[in-house]
Amino acid sequence: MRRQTRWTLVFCAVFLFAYCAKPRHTAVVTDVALYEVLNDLHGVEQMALCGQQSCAGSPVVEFLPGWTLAKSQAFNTKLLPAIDGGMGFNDLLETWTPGTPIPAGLPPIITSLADSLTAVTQDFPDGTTKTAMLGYIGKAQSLILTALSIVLAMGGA
Amino acid sequence: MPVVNINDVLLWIDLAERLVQLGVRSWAVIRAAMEDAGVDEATIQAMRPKWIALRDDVRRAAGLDPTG
Repeated sequence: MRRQTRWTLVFCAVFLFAYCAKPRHTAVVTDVALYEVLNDLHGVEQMALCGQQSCAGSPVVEFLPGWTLAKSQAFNTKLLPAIDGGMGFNDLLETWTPGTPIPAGLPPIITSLADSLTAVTQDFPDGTTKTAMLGYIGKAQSLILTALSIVLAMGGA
Repeated sequence: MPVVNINDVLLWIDLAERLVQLGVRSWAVIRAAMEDAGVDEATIQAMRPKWIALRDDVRRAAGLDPTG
């Protein structure tokens, strides 16, 4: 399936459920879409380092000239809070009983995700790869706004 | 590249079509049935190993112990 078609499908689902579904169901759809976009963001960065989606066991070749191992490590250090936030979001959904108030842990997770994504591209060189990354970050931030709308709709902090 | 799990989407569509065949034509009713059928719970459970694998790879890429 082409990437654009996949994203069209994901975002149609997000917006459909955001406007029609129960808050927890919206959150579940957001969880899936957020994983996809963060996984793609990480994959694009790894492609810049070694030409593969994951550089585990692969030699570093600086596929994108100037994108060194040190820069890659710094990037992923900044990305890690977003991934931890996404995992925390998934864990929180497991314990959130449908129909009950929104868990108190959601607002700080949303803040952590947003802060991490703001920091993540600061050192990345301008070019096609950075443009692609900014696209993913834009999508991720849209998803975060969806999660935030759940908080606001339920009267959370 | 990572993809949306199309099998999950097809499963949802199949379930929706079966409900329509049974005469349940309201999308709201279908959606509620899907939620009640545990689709959300199954999705949450299915996402956990994916999140863990992504976290482990990002930790490795950051130069940290992957499973730490």
